[in-house]
Amino acid sequence: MKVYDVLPPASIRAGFYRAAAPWKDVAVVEFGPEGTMHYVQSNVRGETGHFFATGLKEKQIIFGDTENLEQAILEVDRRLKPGWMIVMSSPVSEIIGADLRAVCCKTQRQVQAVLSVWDQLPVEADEFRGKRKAYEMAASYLKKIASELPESQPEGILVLGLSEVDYNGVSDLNEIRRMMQDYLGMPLLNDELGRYALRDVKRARWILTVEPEAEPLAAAAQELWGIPRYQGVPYGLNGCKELMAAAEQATGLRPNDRWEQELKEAAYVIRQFHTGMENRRPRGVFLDIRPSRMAAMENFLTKELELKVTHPHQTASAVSTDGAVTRELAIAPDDILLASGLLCSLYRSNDSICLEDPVVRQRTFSRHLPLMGLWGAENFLTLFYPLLL
Amino acid sequence: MRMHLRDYTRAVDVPRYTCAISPGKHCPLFGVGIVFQGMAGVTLIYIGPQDCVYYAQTDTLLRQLASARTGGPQVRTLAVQLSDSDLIFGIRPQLEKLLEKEARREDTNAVFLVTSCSVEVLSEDLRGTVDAVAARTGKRIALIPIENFKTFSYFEGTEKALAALTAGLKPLPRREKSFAVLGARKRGADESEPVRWLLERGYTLQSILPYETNAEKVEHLPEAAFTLVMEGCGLEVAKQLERDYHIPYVRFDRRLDLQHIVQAWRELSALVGADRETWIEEQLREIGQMEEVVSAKVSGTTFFYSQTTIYPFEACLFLSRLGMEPLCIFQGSVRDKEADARLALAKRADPVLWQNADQSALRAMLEEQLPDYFVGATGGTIREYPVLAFSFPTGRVDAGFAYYKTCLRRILAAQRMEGNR
Repeated sequence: MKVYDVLPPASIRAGFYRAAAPWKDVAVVEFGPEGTMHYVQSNVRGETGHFFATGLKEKQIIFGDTENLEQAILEVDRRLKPGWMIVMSSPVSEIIGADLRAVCCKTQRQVQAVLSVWDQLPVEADEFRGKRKAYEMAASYLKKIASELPESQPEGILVLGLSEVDYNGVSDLNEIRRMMQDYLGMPLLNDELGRYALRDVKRARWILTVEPEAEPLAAAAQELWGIPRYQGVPYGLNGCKELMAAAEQATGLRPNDRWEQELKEAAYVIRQFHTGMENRRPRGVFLDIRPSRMAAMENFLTKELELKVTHPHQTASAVSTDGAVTRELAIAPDDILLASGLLCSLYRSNDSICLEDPVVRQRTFSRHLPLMGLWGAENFLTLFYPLLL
Repeated sequence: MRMHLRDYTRAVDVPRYTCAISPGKHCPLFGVGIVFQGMAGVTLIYIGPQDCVYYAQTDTLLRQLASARTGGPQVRTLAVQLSDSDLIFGIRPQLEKLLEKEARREDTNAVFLVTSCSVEVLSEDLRGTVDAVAARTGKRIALIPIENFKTFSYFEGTEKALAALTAGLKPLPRREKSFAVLGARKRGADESEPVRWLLERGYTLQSILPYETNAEKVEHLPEAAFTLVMEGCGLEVAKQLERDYHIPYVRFDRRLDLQHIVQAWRELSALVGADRETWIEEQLREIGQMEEVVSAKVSGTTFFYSQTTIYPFEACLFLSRLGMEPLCIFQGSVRDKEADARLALAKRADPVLWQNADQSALRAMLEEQLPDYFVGATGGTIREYPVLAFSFPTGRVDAGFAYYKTCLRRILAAQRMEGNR
């Protein structure tokens, strides 16, 4: 057992749900108690109306009764008409060893959706593994239905791993949308909340994966239809330059003059920041965000803004009974925290900017305040600079 | 399969409209978290698989933040995440070690171990472990077993936690003119009709459980001269305190039954030694006039009921006595503590019963038969149908005649939905 006096890592299931939330043509049915589904839905920001639980009850545990699950599959198929339905185990159904595959074999003939099962989940695994699993399964699904999809012309850019599920995700996505539209004349295939249908992946001209866990899906699209892909997080000017270079290479479209002009303006803002920092007491930044964004943000902070950054590090847990590893938070009293909402809130005497999972008071009112992209770099400085004064 | 009121057996037997539940009711772990916010000197340990302890711990930490903002004390919470080997070989030795370590902390007065479904399915004897460590350390250590698959709603988590929190308290000399409020989950109890009256008469409000209390106040609960029950989740604790410490209680939780409100006021008046009969008569006269007005407007109309935290049958009986006919009742998270309201209602009507107002259930029932009124939250689906809608207040704790009158006014203020469907 592992003991946490802070927040334990989110589970593999939580990661799976976060990855699957933006998929418009997918439904997930979990064979488990309803309380877990309530927690899932309050934890995943954004659309969750396609996630269901069967409400596992004592009778089903004692007698191994799976009739509720069969009914749920039929109902969801009739009501939502998803292209793909994932039937998932819960911690309780794992213990009683419910045979989900048998249920799906039995019901597959009665539904129009393609049924897939995800069971025998590891008892301990982090959310990033869950996200990767979701995208791997999506890749398999695409391969399975590829021959049935109609012919289509490449229509736009598809962004994977950035949506309303992520804190500030809609703002960040819309900044990427603006950059692609304004500088390259290319639309995004994601809707205004970042959602998309898996069937529409084929219509992409280029795929940008903001989370590396989404790579298996992008790789499948490349393998099936030759769609080029790029993985990166556009934090800071360097991140933006890399993004635009990759977009140019993949699409053959050259960014227009506006890109050069706005890049110069953003570079001027960063120079202003350095001028403002002259003769000021340097302050450290404690950075604790999801691993997939850590390197990009750290590059921006250290290489472009010339700040000193520290991270949490792994150490033996003081409260664990089996010497388990946990994260030690060496936060100095003067550090500025760039971290999750909870961490920022628990260290109230430190200045902070919430970059992940906000608590209520940290939610932004605006859907137009990106921290990614060209405008995002300037916004970040607008939030960050006053903390240094 | 459909159930009507006259076929009712138990709340848990009321069918769900659908097997595909989204989002479903809260987990009882959530109900436990409500009780322990702000409990300094207490260690709360959630034990279970990664999913359960992550969500429960998130919820508790968020509550701590709210408590910290008001300068309140903090409960120490630990999330114990089980591994493969724990599930296969058991957890007793490790758990015993952990409990002992926590119990021996200088600033810890009590440890509460909260299990989850998976731990309960494994049927490991954790009570034995808890008792053994309690005996060794001399500290209060209690087990709160949580089984979502067996519970009706998260209120059972709250009830179990309250019972564990108040069990085994040391008897203390009675403090005259002091009282406690039990079962108030939200703000407002201190401004409710009976509490205001008591405060005006010089009584001291000892604590509001679970909304506003701490470990020290809980320890002093046996000092209270009497308790007031504001919501059903406080009833068992009130009975426990009466049984163990002879502290009488008055029930103000039956908020939409006029007879019980009168009874509660008479019991409270007797405890305090005051005569409130004239005032009660005045209240009844005023309410009688209001009911005539409401009845003239709503008599002969039909309704669907879907409020989640008010006794459903009592609320429907209240409306039925005004001349309204229930067609469909979505139970929600609270069940009536007694059968009287249900039996009385069954003599007047035989509505369809569903477990809760899942959007698909609501839509299907509205398509089948459109009522004149809808009682409950008015977001989403209901806005698409041309019905009059209102809800009884649940945002603040209130009770007595004041609450009853507020509910009558709510009926008169019903809003017509757009009905753009």
